[in-house]
Amino acid sequence: SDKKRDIRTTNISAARAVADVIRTSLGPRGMDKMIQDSKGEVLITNDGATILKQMSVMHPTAKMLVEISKAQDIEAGDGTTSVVVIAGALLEACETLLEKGIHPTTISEGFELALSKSLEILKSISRPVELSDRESLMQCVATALSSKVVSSNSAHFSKIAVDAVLRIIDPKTATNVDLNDVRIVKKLGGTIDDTELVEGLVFASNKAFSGGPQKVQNAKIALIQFSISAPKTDIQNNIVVKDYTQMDRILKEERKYIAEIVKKITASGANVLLIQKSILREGINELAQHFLSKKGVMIVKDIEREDIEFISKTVNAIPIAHIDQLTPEKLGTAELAQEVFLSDESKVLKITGVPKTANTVTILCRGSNQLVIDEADRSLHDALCVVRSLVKNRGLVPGGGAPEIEICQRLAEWADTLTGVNQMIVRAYAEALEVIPYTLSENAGLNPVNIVTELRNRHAKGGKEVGINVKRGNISESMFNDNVIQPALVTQSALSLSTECVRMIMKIDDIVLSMR
Amino acid sequence: MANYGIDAIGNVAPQILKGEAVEERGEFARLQSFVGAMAISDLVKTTLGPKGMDKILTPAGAGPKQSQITITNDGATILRSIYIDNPAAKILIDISKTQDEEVGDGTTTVAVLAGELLREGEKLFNQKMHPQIIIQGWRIARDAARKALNAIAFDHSENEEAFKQDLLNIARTTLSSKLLTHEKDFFANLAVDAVLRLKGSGNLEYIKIIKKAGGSLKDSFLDEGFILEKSITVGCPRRLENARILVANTPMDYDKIKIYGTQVKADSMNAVAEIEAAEKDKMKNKVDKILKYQPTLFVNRQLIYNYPEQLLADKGVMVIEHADFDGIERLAAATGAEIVSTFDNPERAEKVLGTCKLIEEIMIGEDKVIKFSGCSKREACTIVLRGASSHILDEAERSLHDALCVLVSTVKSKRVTYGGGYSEMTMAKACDDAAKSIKGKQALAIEAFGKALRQLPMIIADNGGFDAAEIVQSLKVEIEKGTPAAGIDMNNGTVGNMKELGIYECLRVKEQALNAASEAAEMILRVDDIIRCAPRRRDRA
Repeated sequence: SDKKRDIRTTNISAARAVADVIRTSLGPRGMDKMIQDSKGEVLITNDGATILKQMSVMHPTAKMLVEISKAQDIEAGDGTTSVVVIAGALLEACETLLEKGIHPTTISEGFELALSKSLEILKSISRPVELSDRESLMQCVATALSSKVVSSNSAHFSKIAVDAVLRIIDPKTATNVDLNDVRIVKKLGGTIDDTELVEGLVFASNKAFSGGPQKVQNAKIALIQFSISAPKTDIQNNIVVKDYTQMDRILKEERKYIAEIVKKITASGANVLLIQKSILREGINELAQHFLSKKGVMIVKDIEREDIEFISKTVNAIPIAHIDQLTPEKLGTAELAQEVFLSDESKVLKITGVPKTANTVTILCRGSNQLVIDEADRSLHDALCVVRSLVKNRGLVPGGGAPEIEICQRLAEWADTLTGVNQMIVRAYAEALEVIPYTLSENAGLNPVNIVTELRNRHAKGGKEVGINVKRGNISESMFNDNVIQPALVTQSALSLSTECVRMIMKIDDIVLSMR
Repeated sequence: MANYGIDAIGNVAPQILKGEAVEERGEFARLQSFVGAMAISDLVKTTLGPKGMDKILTPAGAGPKQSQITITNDGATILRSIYIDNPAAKILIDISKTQDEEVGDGTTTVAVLAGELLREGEKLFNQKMHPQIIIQGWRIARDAARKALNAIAFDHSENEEAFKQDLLNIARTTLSSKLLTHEKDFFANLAVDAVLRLKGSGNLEYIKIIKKAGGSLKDSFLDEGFILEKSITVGCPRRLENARILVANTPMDYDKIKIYGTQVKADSMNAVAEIEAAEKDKMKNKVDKILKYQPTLFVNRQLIYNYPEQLLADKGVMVIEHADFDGIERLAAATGAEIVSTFDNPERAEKVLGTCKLIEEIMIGEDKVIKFSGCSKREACTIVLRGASSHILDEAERSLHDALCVLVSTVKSKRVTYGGGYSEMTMAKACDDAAKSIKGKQALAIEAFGKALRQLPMIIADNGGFDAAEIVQSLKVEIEKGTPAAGIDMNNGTVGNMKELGIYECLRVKEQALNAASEAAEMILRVDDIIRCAPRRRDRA
């Protein structure tokens, strides 16, 4: 009926509006967006997932596109813009097909067919990669980062990301990477180039380091979860003082009480003390700080509870919840704990030379202002995700729109072998995929029509790896030779996520107001 | 004048009801009921069948709630969430809910059937037929239909292999009308496996569904055992074999005297320190008591503070804190443990503790979860759903839940029939036959009942974009001829053999839908007066 057609049309146009907003961010020559949130904070980014997360879209189908971008971020970490752009193009194709009077569920089924064939084709053009092949891994990351603000540092970042992931997994057996084992610590100041990989721990907060020697070699690290301050009970307590002599006594008692604890700590042989933040009372009071630094114990306080696991894993220390449980075998070890001055005179505390068994690593992220440092953090995360997606699925495909054009052509050929309306649907699906090379060249200021037709021509002649080299601004014979490569998983998940979402949108025929 | 009101037709009548209460009578009341019920059935009827469409539900009003949209094909979900101010419509929503609770599927069918019945009822009523006579006819028709339905049902439960095949077919049929339609074979297997594990106990509690965004629906899987989305405390073993599990719900944060306003007064630091030590001791005692049970895994619903955590970890006990109600209840069910909150009877340990072969951490998507495999109650299993977005995942969960419910009720009732309109058309034929032998004008009502039943395949075909009238007519001919298992082939838009296509349905779902729909329609038809009470005023404070 008319109403249903209208709803479908609005759904499609709302979703396409979202795709149109971010399509200019696609590719290495894509533009950034500046977003001002409701609090007036400004954010500059090129990351599709981030842009969409910040945009407060209202329309239900537009929200679905935001969701798939998020899912792509989780699954592959890259291609968050592509997935939305592809979905937008597929919806455009749907519109044309609907106008021809094809039933939405038929379109949905046809797309499913086209998707499974596309994934087959994608598999056939992907090259296997070994995790020991660091060069290829780094190239992949560099391609992913080429569109980001940090693109000029991509060589540096890709090295960090690849090293970080390879450090925390066993390349022979790993099928997934837990990115929680990579901790990104942000410290304002310096430049992006100062970002470094630390095999160990970094504490960036100025307040964290609070006494003791600035350098400890052969560190014995105690990770404690109790406080070293005046005793405090769970029940409310008052100390009643009747005269001034009692005051002196109480102070003396407190000194004694703390000296007791300090003695126990030093007795265990610990020379670096990491103290968990306590909300109920001071983690460590000044008196204890004074005692401990006199004994040559380095003190780091205000450690969040959620960081405990990471620290415990890294230095191989077992957290200690009560002074009586402090035994030498629970201490962690590291070769060096040192307060280091960075290039811009700011200080961080580094613990390095941690046991080789620790499958964790810290990245110290630098940047001259908060915006840059946040973007660098996001880019690092993307870079790590790219490496992870190679661990999950060890295949590489050429970048620069080559896989999309190849899939488009082979899919169109295959479509001709189909009968009935599916032929038309699969063909429309194939053509929709051309949006990627088209947008890439458009964003690079090239003539999209020329480029796409040329690509079609070259692919038809058998050039499977012909793609657009955006940096040089022309068509390249082999994207592999140009080192523009990306994980197969990125394209694979972009295709399946966008198709899944479009199929869902196709099936909607009504928007109902609900109570909840 | 205050005691007089003007009714809808303009007659001045003495006011009997309280101010603002509204009464609608006769024609008007009936019109309201018919319109309301039909509006509901029209709203959901496009979701019917394998080519049915979905609806987006957007919460009305602005605010953060606005962002939580739902996309669904499930009649019960749609009806449950819409705004309604019509008594008859409310009745339809209610029967749909009941259907959902009773059998889990056919929620749309029941609302649509009731709506269609009323549509036919209205026609008869307009021919000046008394509602009670219509109802009499409907009752005869319903009994005839039910008899016909039971006659075509079959039962393969003797033969395990054949029964499993039936279940698979039923699952596929149910899922084909839902989001999971394209992966229906995959999910049908998943659902049947899960239900067969229950071994007839029918307790869906044992099947846990976990949703994780990312990947596609095909990456979903069924995992033997139980998965808990929590993390193991630092410093504990990360892997346990032949675990002895103590499931508890007890405060392990701090154990203070819970009397309002308690406080201690001390005159020295040492005294305070002693009290603190005493408090710690209290906790230590509790932990010691727990350790007497000799568990190797301690799961608590509430938080566990660092100190007791450490004490337990020191003894090599794996600790999981803050496991939520849902978490501990299912875990207790799956591992055969009892949830305890006092620890004074270590001699009961064997009774209280649950067991499982292996506990380990696995990764799903980006997150680490804890997997319990080889649980003592073998029924337990977990289905992990993956998908592009939370909307897809939510809908997938609903679809899967429906399929599981239908399978469970099939396992219980064991009887199966063909879908694709075969059962509806057979029931309609039975109505027509019954009408032939009736002398009075009830016969008209009986025929009308049959007509309403025929509307269901009509709508299904219509949703598929096929020429519904044509198909249903040829199907009618096939049924009259007595062709077994004739129904609509929704792939090609023709009449096909449901047995070959594997379109099976659970008899109980059909029967329940028939009963509920006819009862509701009857009830609505009887109405000749609607009284709306005056809305209760909310006094301003």
